[in-house]
Amino acid sequence: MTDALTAVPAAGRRRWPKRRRVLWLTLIGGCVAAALIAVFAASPAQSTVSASSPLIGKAAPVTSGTSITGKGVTDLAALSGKWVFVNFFASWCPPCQAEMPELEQFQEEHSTAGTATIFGVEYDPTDASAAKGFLTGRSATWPAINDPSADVTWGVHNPPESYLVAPSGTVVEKWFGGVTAATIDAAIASYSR
Amino acid sequence: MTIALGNAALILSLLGAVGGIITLVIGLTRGKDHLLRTGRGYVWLIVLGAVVATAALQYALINTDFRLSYVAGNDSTGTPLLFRITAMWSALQGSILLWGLILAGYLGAMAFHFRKRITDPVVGWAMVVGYSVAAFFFILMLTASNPFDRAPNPIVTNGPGPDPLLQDHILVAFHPPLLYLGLVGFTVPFCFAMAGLITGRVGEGWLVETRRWTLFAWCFLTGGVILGAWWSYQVLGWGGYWAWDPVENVAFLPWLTGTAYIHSVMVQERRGMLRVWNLSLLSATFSLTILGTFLDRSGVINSIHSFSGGAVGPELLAFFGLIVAVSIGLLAWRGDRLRSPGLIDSPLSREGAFLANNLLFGAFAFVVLLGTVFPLIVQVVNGQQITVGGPYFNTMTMPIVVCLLFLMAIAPVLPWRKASGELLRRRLLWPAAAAVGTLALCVVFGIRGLNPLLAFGLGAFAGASALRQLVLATRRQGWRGAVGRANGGMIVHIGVVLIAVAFAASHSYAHAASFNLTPGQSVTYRGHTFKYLGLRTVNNSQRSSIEASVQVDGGKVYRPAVSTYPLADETVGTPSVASTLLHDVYLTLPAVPSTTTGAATIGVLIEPLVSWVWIGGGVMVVGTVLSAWPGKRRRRPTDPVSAPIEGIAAPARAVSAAGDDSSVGVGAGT
Amino acid sequence: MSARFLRRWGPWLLIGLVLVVALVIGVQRNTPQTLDQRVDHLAGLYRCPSCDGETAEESNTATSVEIRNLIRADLQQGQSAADIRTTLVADYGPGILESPQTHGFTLLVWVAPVVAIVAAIVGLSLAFRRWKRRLGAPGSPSDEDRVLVEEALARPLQDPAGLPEEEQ
Repeated sequence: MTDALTAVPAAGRRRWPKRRRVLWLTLIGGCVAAALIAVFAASPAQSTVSASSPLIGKAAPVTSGTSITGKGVTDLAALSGKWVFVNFFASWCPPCQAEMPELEQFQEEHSTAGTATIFGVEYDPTDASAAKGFLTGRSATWPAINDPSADVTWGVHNPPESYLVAPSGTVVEKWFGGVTAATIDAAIASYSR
Repeated sequence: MTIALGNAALILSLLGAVGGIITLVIGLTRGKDHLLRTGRGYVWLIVLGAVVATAALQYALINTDFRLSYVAGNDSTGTPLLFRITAMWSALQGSILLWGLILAGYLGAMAFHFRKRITDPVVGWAMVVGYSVAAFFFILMLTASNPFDRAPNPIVTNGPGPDPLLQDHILVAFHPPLLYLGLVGFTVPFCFAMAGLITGRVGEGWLVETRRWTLFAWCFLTGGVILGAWWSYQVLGWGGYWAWDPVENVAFLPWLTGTAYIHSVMVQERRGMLRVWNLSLLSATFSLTILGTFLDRSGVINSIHSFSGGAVGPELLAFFGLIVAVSIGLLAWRGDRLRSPGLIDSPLSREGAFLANNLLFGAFAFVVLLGTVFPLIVQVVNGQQITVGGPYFNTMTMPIVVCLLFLMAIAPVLPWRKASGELLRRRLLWPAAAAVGTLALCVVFGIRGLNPLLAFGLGAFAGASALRQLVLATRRQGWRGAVGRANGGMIVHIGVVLIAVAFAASHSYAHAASFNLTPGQSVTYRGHTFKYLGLRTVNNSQRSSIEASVQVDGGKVYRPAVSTYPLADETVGTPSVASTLLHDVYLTLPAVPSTTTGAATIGVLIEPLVSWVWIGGGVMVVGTVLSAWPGKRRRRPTDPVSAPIEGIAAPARAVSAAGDDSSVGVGAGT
Repeated sequence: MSARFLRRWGPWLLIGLVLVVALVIGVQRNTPQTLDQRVDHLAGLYRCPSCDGETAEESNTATSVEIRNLIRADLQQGQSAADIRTTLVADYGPGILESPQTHGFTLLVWVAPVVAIVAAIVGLSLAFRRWKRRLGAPGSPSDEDRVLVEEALARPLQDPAGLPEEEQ
C-alpha cells in the first residue's frame, strides 16, 4: 500500500517530485544570498565615501551677502576672471580652524599676482558674529560673506567644504574637509591646462 | 594582570568549544556514547571562560584601568559607576564579549536541559553547531576585536568616557542585554534545526520541542526592541521612537521571521506540514541576527546607532556566508526526507490563517530587508548614493499592517480544518460591531485621515476579537483561561493592537512648534501653557549641563538641556518629556541661548498616545510569559506516542490524545 | 426580504452601513493645510545633509533650516512640490531625497515587494488547488485513489498470496 501512495502518480500529468522542487528553491535562495553577500563585500565603508557634487562642470551659483569682516567684495561675480577658492566655514568647526594656516599661506602666495583668491562663506548664519573674530583674529585678508541661502544652492553638507571656481565662472572641483595650500595649487595647475 | 587573565579566559572558552566539537563529532560518527557525555561537559569551560573574561573587563572598567586600550577609549574617571559598568557594551569589542557571554549562557542552559538525552544524536549535533558558533565568536574576540588589547604607551591618565549619548539615560543598562538575550537566543532553535537536517530526523517533534526556546528568545527580543525605541525617544531629541534606521531594521528583521515561525510551527504540530518552510524560517532568523551584527559593525551603513572602530566586517560577512551556505546545503541534501504527508483542506481555516500570517510577515521582512540594503546595492551597481528612509517604509508597510490587523481579528475565531460563513458571521458579530462603533466615535470626535482611521477601526476589530476569546476562555476555565498558548497569544495580540494604534496616533497627530521666550514669559499652545523660568547650569564629574526650566501647565517643571561632556569633547541635547496616558509633551532646547538672561528658544512637540507604545510592549511581554505557562497535559513532543501523560490515568487515553501531535498521516518518522 | 434573512444579515448590513458612512466622512480633510504644515510635510521628504539619518524637518542644523526656508519661500512664490524637488536635487544630487525616486534603477525597490507578494499569493493559490485536487470533490475519488484502482485492476486476477478464497 505504501508503495502506491509514495510513488509518483502515473503518466498524463507532470508534477515535480518534492525533492527536485526543494533543490530548485534552495538553488534560487542560494543565488540570491550569494548576490547579497557580493554586494556587502563590495560596499565601501561609509566614512571613506565622499559624494561627488552635481555642481562640477556647471556655472557657480549666484552668491552674495553681507560682508563679515567689513572689507572686500560681497559678491562672487565680482571676482570673475580669477581662480576663486570658495570656502564654507564656521568658527566652531575644528577642521576649519585647522585649515586656516594653509588658507592664509595660499592667500599670501597669490596676493601679489592677484590671479587667485579665497572667498569665504559662512556655513551657519547664527555663527556670523563669532565668525568675524575668527577671521580677523587669524589675520585672514580674503573677503568673507554671510549668505544664508548659499549652503543649499552650493549643496553643502558639513563645514569645511570648498569649491574651486575657474576664471570662467565654472565650478571645477569640490573638497570635503580641510585642504592644504599645495592641494589648491595643484588643482589650479591641472585645470589651467 | 587583568589583560593576561582576560586573554586566558577567552582562550579557555575557545579551547572548550573546539574540544567539545572534536569530542562530539568523534562520538557521533563512531557511536561512542561516553564521548557524547564528555563533549557535553566542555560547555562549562566555555561558560567559565566567558564569565571570567566579563568579570575581568568589568573590573578594569570599574577601576578605570587605562592599560587596556578598550578602557582608555571608552571609560573615564568622571563617568558615574553605572555607565562605567555599561561601558562594556558601549563599543565594539565589549559588545562582542557580551554576545559571547550570553551565547555561553544559552549553550549551558541547552546542555543542562537536554542532559538526560545527550546520547541522542540530534542533541549531540545541536551542541556541535552551538559550539561552532561559540568558537567563531571567541576566535573573533581573540583576533580582530579583542577587548583586552594593550593600550599603547604612554598610558593615559583619563579617557573620554563612553559616547555621551550612551551615558545619558538608565535604559543603556537594559536595552543591549535584553536585545542580545533575544538575538542570541535564536541560536538554540537554529542548532536543533541544523541537527535535525544533519541526522535526517526531521519528522519528529524536535522543532516543536524547541518552540519554547524560540518563544523565550522572541520575548526578550520584543522587550529589547521596545526598550530601544523608548531609549532613543528619551535621548535623541527628535521626538520620535522609530525612524526605520538601518540598525533598528536589522534588529526588527529576526523578530518578524521569528513571529512567522511561532505561528507556522503550529501548523507543523497539527498537520505535519511546512517542514521545509519552518526550517528555512529558523535558519533565516539566525542568519538575520548575524547579518544584523555585520551591518551594525562593519561601517557600510550610516547610522547614529552603529558601532565605530574595529575591522570585524570581513569576518562577520564570511560567517554569515558560511551559515547561509550550510543551511541551504543541508536543506538541499535532505530535500527528499522533507516531503510532508499533510495538506490544508480549505483556505478559510486556522491553518489557512497561519499561512496568510506567514505570507504577510514574509512580505514585511522582505520590504524591510530590501529597503535596508538597497542603498548598498545601488552604490555597487551605479555608484550613486541614495537614501531609503522613513517615507518608503511607512508607505510599503502600511498595507501589510492593515492586512495583519484584519487577520488578527478573524484568525482566532477560525476553527481548524474548515470554517463556514455562518460560523464566522456568528462569532465576529460583536467584534465587528465594536470596530465600527469605534470608527464612528473617532469620526464624531473629529479624527480624519484614512490611515489613522483604518488603524483605529481594525485595531478595535482585532482587540475585540482577542478579548472575546479571553472572556470565553476565562468563563470556561477560570484563571487558566488567561494562560496557555492560545490565551497568552490573545494577550500578545492585544499588546500588538495597542502599539499599532499608538503608532498611528503619534505619527498622524503630532504637533510641533518653536517658541522664543524670555525668562518669565508664558505661551499657550494647543491647550497647554509653557512658562520659561530661566536657565541654570549643573556641573558634575561627568558633564556640564545648561538646563532651561520650563513649567508646564502651572505644575511640574521640566528641564530640557544641552550637555557638554568635556572628556569626550562633545555636546548633546537632552530632551525632557512630560508623559501622560493621553499624550506626551516633548520639550527640547535646540541651542544654548547666547546670554543667560536673554531669550531662549524652546521646542515643543505634542504627540498623542505615545505611552501606549511602551504599555503595549509590556502587555506583549506579559502575554508571552503567560503563553509559555505549562498546560495540564505535559508530554514532550519527542516522546513516543504510547508514553504515559501525567495526570491522565489510562494509557489508552494517551493514544487518542496523540491525535493532534506532530505527524499526521503516514506514520511518524518521515 | 424574509424575516430569516433579516435575522441573519440585518446586524451585518447595519455594520456595513455605518462603516461606509464613517469612512466617507472620515477621509475628507476638513481644514486645508497651513503654510507651516505644508513646509513641514515637504521638508520631511528630504534628508538633512549634515546629519546621520534625520530628515530636514526634524533637524535644526544650518542646512536643514535653510532647506525649510527655501521650501517656504518657493511655496510662497507659488512653486509646486515637484519644482522644489527639482531645485534641491539639482543642488545636492538624488542623495538628498529621503525616499528613492520612482524612475530608473531605484524603481526596483518600489516594485520588487509588490511582485514578490503577488508571486507568493499565486503560489499559494496553486498549492491550494493542488491540495483540493488531491482530496477530490466529496464523494468522488482522488487522484491517488484512481492510481490504486488502476494498479489493482492491472494485476492479473489470481489468488493474492495468503488471502483465503472467500474474501476475494
